[in-house]
Amino acid sequence: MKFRFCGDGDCPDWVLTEIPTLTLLTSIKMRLLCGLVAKALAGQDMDVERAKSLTADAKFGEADVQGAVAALRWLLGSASRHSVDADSFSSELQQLGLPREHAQAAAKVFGEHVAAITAHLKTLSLRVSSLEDVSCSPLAPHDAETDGILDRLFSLNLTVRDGVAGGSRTLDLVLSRLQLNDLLSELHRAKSMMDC
Amino acid sequence: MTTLTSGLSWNSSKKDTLSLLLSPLNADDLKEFVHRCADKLCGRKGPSEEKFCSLGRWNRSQFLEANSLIKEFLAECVVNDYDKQKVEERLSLEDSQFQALMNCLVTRKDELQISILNHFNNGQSQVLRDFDWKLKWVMGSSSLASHQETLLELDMSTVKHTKVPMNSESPMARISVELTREDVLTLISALEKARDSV
Repeated sequence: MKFRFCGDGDCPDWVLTEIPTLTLLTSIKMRLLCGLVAKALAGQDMDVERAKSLTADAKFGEADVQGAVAALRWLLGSASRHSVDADSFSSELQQLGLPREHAQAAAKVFGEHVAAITAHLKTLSLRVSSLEDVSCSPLAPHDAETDGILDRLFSLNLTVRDGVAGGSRTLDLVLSRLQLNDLLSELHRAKSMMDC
Repeated sequence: MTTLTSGLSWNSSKKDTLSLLLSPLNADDLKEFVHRCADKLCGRKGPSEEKFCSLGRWNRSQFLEANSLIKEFLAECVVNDYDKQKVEERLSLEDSQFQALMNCLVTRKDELQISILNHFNNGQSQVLRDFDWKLKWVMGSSSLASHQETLLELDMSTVKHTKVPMNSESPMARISVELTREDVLTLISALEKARDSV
């Protein structure tokens, strides 16, 4: 069976095997557990102790907790990755065999956190390089003699993060007033194209 | 460095000397001479002593003087961004000779400017030579199926400081950075702040 939250593909078997475990939880505990997982997906640390205490009532063993959390993590992550709306997510979870209340609880939490999760996934996407810091200032004169000329020179500092090799490097550039004006007008042009 | 800074105090005696030295050259010879001197300023081979000594009826010291004066003059014109009228005030030449000089100044201004930037840069950092940009439309990534974001790729080519800037062996470097819309705004505001601060 194909699911939209799986990117129109099959749901992995290991996730399917965790569905009966999840049904052992009450729908309220399910909602709270989903909340924990959603926060972890949005970049926060996973509160493992809280997950254990939430599942204590249902007498989950260590492996059950890990399995349930991993399955929820995959379900919510995949739904965010493929930008599914909360209603279809809920109905597809029911098709997987999750009770209606559980599916709705998970979908509700998903709806609340999808923006934060998507924003975090965006930061995880591969970038060739990215700008970490920038500063620009007129070049300080070396001595009084050259003072008159140096008001035409600028120093541009760029800290660029290399997305492929990792690490970042700082680049010092010297440019003239003419080049600075050219660069500015081109950047304005590019920005107006990005806004379209 | 000393040549360039002393060029700032261009005075009437230098003006007369240079005008007098250049007067025997016709427009074509002057054009070549000025271009060769600009080459020298950019770290390449300068004018041939033998050739121009006979064309300009100079002896060796006159040749050297003409050489250094014209280099000084070119540097001054480029640094201060002189227009045609200002150049005319600083040098008395025949019309055709003047045209030849202006021709060189206009066509090689960018190249000369980079060489001069290098002189003042003390070898600390790289000098911007050229830049280009393109927009990228990111459709999706492995972590997000429909990413849909525009990125600006800014490519800059730079020349590292050398004693002989801008020849074919100058170490060139390419800097490339991907900018999001917010990064572009940050960069624009940083540049504008620097521009408006002087």
